[in-house]
Amino acid sequence: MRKLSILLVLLLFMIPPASAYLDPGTGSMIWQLAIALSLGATYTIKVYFRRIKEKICGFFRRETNA
Amino acid sequence: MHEISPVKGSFRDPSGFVFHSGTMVLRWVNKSYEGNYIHLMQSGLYDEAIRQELLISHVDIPDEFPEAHRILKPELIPFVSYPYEWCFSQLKDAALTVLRLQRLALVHGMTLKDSSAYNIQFLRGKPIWIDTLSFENYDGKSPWIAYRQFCQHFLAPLAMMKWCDPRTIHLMKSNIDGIPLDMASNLLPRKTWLNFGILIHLHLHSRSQMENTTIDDYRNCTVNLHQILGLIDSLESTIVDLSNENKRSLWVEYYQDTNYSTEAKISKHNLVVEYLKSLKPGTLWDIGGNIGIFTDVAAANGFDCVLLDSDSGCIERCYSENKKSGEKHILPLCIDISNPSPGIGWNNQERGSLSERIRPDTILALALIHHLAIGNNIPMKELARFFSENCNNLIIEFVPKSDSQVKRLLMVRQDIFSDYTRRSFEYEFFGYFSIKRIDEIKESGRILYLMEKKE
Repeated sequence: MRKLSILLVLLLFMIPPASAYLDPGTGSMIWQLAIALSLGATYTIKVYFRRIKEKICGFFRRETNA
Repeated sequence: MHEISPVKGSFRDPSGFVFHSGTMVLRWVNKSYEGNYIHLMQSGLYDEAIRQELLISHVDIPDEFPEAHRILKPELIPFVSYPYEWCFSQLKDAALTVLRLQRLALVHGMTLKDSSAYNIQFLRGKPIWIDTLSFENYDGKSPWIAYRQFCQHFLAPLAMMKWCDPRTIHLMKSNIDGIPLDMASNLLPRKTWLNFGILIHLHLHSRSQMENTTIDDYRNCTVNLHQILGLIDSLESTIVDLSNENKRSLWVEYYQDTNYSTEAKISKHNLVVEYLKSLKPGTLWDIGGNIGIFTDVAAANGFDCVLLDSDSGCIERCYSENKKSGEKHILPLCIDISNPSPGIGWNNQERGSLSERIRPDTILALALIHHLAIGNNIPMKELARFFSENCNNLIIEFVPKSDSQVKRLLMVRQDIFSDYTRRSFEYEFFGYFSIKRIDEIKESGRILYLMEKKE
């Protein structure tokens, strides 16, 4: 996670400076789109991992009960 | 139906507004909100949000206004508070409530169109969302429109309270739409760039607002349900990981540093209990209540209490203890009574000042008056007037100049307080109040009074 943070900081220097009046809300929406791709993927993996973990735990619980 | 009088802070939402009608507080639902309201009630979202204690409950009331879709009567909030009066843990719990509600809304096909911290109030010791009209149907592709507001109202102030100072929450008073992200990013220490959540939702988010964007960029901005859930999940884990490490407090150890003997402590406690029992339980403010030792006593005697103290460490301690014990009748707030919250926002009326909010039946002012009179140079006459304007019953402790705590206050300043005497105190206060009880607190030289406001 720390390495990813450093990479994102480096990417920041590639953002060109603002040159006109902008509504910060618009930039916020675009930023949300940019991060949502990776956060969505992380979330999907997390949800599947949790389901697999629950199934494994459930299997062993059944074994112990039997 | 009485004449309607809109609440001053309820004018931004095109879906409706809150108004007073007689003694009731009601919510007007515009016809334009009909589709969203039906979805909220019929999708199961409302019932589930009520079950999880995330949303304020309401009942439909028959109305006489053909222009309205509905008139709702929400459960009454006993005392309205604002984020700049909360401690770190209160703001953190409020933030998590918003995220849980947004997740619940999304899985029911709706989304929160705003995430204002002012839409959270504390009810029975817990934060709850009070704006029933904040939900709108989710189209499955739009980004979360309230993302920036959430970061400004919750994430930025929490990060600043943790890494800078808990008192930075007062910046919310001068920034009604939350802490600007560029300001938070500038003030936070560099090490916060290594916290992934703070990096993406605050530092880089603030930079993105300075980027050149076009209408086409905005139109192409689509985010699916899983991606928004990922965003909510990331915000939630960032906030859960934030702990309040900044626990510096002048007053939190006060009860280990008092000049009371055991006998004096018992005597004061017993007298306060006797006084409270002689009153009809109602609303009570414990001003300068520290960590809430006597607020607990009042709550145990059936009072609905608000604890006001200027020290965020004390409020933090009281809130955490109440959360553990399940105490539901105490709302601790970080308010300095010598400089209480002003009216802010549009026309200085959007968020009411402390004096504009509901006043209590009873005020508890224990070991307080010397701090106001000597520590803050407030004349006795002013103090008597203040208390008479704010309550009907007053339990107040007079601490004489011979007391070691007053001597400490006078150690570094010239004694210009010639009116700080028991005689002057009684002269000023007896002008406004009739006296029900006067008792000496054993082994202390301090006097306790129970007063009732004169008609």
